[in-house]
Amino acid sequence: MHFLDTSRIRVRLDQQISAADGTQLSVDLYLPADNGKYPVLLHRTASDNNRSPRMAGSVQLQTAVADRWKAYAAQGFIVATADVRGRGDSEGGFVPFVHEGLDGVATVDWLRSLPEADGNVGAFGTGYAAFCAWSAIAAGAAIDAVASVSPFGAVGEGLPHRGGAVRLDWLFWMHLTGGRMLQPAALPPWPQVHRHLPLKSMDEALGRSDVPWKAWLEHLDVTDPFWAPLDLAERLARRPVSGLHITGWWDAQLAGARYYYEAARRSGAPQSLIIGPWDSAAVRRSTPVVGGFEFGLRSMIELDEILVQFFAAQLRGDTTRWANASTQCFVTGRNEWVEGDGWPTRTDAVRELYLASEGSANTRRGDGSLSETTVISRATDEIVYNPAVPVEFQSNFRSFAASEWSLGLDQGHLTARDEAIVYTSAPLAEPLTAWGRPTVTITVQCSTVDADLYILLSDVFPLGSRDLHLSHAAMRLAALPDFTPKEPLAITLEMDEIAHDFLAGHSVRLTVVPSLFPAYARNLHQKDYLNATSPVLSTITVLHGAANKGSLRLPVVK
Amino acid sequence: MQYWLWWMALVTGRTNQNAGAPSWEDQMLSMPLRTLDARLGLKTSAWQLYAAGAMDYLSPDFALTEDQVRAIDVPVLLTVGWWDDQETMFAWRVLQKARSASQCRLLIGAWDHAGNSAPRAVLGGLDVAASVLEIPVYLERFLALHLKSEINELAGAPRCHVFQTGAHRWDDIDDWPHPEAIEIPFYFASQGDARSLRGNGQLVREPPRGGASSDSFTFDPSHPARDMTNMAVFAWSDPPLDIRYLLRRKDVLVYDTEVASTPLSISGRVRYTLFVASDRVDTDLFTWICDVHPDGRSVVLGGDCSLRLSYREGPEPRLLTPGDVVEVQLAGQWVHHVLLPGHRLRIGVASGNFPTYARNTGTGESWADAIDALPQTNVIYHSASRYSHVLLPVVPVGSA
Repeated sequence: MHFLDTSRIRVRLDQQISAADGTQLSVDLYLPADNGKYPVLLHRTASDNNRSPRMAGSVQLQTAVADRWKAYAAQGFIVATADVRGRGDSEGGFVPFVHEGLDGVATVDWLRSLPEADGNVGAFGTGYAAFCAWSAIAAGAAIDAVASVSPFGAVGEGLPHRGGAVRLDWLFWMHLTGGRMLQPAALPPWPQVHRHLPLKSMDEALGRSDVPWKAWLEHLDVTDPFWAPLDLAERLARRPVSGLHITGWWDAQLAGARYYYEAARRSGAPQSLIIGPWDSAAVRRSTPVVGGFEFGLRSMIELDEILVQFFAAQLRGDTTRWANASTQCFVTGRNEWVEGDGWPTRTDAVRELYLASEGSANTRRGDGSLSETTVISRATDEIVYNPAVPVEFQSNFRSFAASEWSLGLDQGHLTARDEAIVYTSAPLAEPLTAWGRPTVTITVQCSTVDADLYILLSDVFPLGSRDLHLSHAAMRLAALPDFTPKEPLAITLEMDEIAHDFLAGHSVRLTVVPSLFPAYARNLHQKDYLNATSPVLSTITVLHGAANKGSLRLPVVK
Repeated sequence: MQYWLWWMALVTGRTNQNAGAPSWEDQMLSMPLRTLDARLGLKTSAWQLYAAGAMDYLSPDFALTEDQVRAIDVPVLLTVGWWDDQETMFAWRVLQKARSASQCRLLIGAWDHAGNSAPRAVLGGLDVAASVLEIPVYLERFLALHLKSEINELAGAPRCHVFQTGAHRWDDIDDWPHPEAIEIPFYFASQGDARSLRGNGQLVREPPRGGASSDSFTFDPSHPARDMTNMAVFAWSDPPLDIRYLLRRKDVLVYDTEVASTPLSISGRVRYTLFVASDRVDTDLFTWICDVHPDGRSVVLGGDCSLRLSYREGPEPRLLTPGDVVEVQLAGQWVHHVLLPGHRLRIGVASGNFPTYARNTGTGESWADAIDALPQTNVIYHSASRYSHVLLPVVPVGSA
């Protein structure tokens, strides 16, 4: 984006809006310098509407978000940026998800009555703020277009757990949004917090009584009415609003993006989708290197520019810089953008690879393989796992704070652990393009009443030099209705989407680990997942061969 | 040690080189080793000197003489980690003859080589947070004590600050290893097949009484046991301390003690006496010692110890006669460890440890020039007359 003259942007801070129940909500307004009528862009955030750093991510610009809103305003929009109820300058208490629908409606009504408003309203946001936009639309707010980046949503697909395995990065988010202002990310003693037992009282180890940790954990059943505020799909399908959806292959909210995209597409309004080679940080601010892998300068986007172009097209009819609704996916491996339509699930065929070993598939030095044909084998592979010594999802991890950590995508530290069983294909003779959600069927037997299972898909470079994590699936066995300890059970799990070229000479790898700590909480293998305090050893056996299903199904494109 | 080529690649030229630049994995199995530097595109002259035997620390001019050691008259602080190069522990013992010995200090933590500047809380999957220490602060205390005559907390402290693994605590002791430690033999035994974790190898206190008893395994140089080195950079990147990946192999012998019912404290150097025969004129032996946790983890104590059998009698090589049994001594790992109740000790024996060590070709040709390699079937004996065993430096119960 070129330098914009923001010196005369008209600013009206801390405007008070009465919510339906009388609670006073605070919104800051940024208006173009010249008098006239303009479309309104609404942003409602839990992360502080004007003091917080410009963006999270590996490139920290210590500029306040206000500069970003001024740049939007300089391009002919009224930017309304609100603190959600209970945060920043807004009254009331912050209870995630609960009030954003009606508070959003009240805010939009108020904005529409502004004499400078031209009658068109867009909503945008990243993470929780993107949820706020969807929640307001579902509640009937008169919003004409929405730009949603890495949106919170999709209960049970990572929020607050995936397959029953609780994600600990939610506690990190709760810390950030504790109190009224954005909290210092690296301040708490995170390693001790993450190791605190039981899981239920981890908020106490964090030293926060003002977060909804216990409330979330008390409602792990995704059908519980507690999660009703996130159950938006049916209402969104009846509310045609044109949308721009942005997420990344390693974005923790990829499932959230899928959820809103599919619901909004059912509404019939045009939806645009961008999926880049990004994690949760890079989706907020692109970098050419993510997780230690170079995806190139062309993998980057100017998020602010794209948002402004999108809203100019939707709200002002200015389509000079905006193409029609389409999907842009960055195909990793090939490292190129590919245009298409719809959610990236195109599949011409399925390539099935079967799990095999001679009984010692532990670590990447073991004998596990992925073969093109079923292998008749009585061999089993065994993970003996002590949750007191969890397998860590990253090497040398301290906390989720951007100042202390950026995601590493090489799996070398994981596949060296004896608790990892590893199945690797022979080097591919021909390149293989996988596009969509891989599924894994695995037959397991577990010695304890509970255990976690994480299955990771990766691309092993020639001669094993690198091991690029692509996607994963997670399952807490006790969350499966037909799981019985000590009895074999075939499980089929769906991984997140990929669009990846395995190049010739590369290998496909499946890695099975009993823990990805502390991305996910430790499973202590006890009956009471939330309140257990003493880790119990578990033996997880993977059976393969003819009678016991074990395979990876890759959706492939010819 | 093939590892040296990596280090030479790093320190070639005037500045630190990118040791990850060569195509290590592509060339690592290629022979002969003398020209491996050229095939990798390295411009180091050191490898040629090494291959010519001009850089050999078995040679007499490599070590300090007794007189040179006695002449040392400066306070020395030796810093090393349990999973670092353990030659430093040997250097500490040598230093006891120095004039300044009473002013010398030893710092051993639960870290690897990189840990000497920045110890990690979790190393190789093991929680070693208790060992984390501000090393620059410790250094500053030592330097201030001697250079600024500052009376700080080191002034009256015992000379050795040593992290005791197993117990996971720092020990402050006047001398290390523990002066009261006595060597106690543990004998190898099996029901005929000690290969891999699934074998039946045992370590027992009773010397063997029976006749022919042994374990045999075949080392295939084309499929050597591999450590977790990432060959793309040929550098250690926090390898796992749980070495079951190695012990699962059919070319590794595994011997376990009974599960300990009382704590067993060991302090000093582990030494091995092995009665061994090979069907070739030369082969290598590597041994590891592990603390086997109740959860099954086999956590290695220190690194590997190694012997090329043709060098069993010292710097002058002497080939084996195939089939003949020889008695060999291996000076092994330095430890300061407590084996807790519920744990067991484990010894692993193999003939490959690649790529840290070059593969023995089994032909008796010089390691630098050999091209062809032969599989080596080796036998470890444990009978009344061929009592392979390990000597553990056990600290008697009740010793301070």
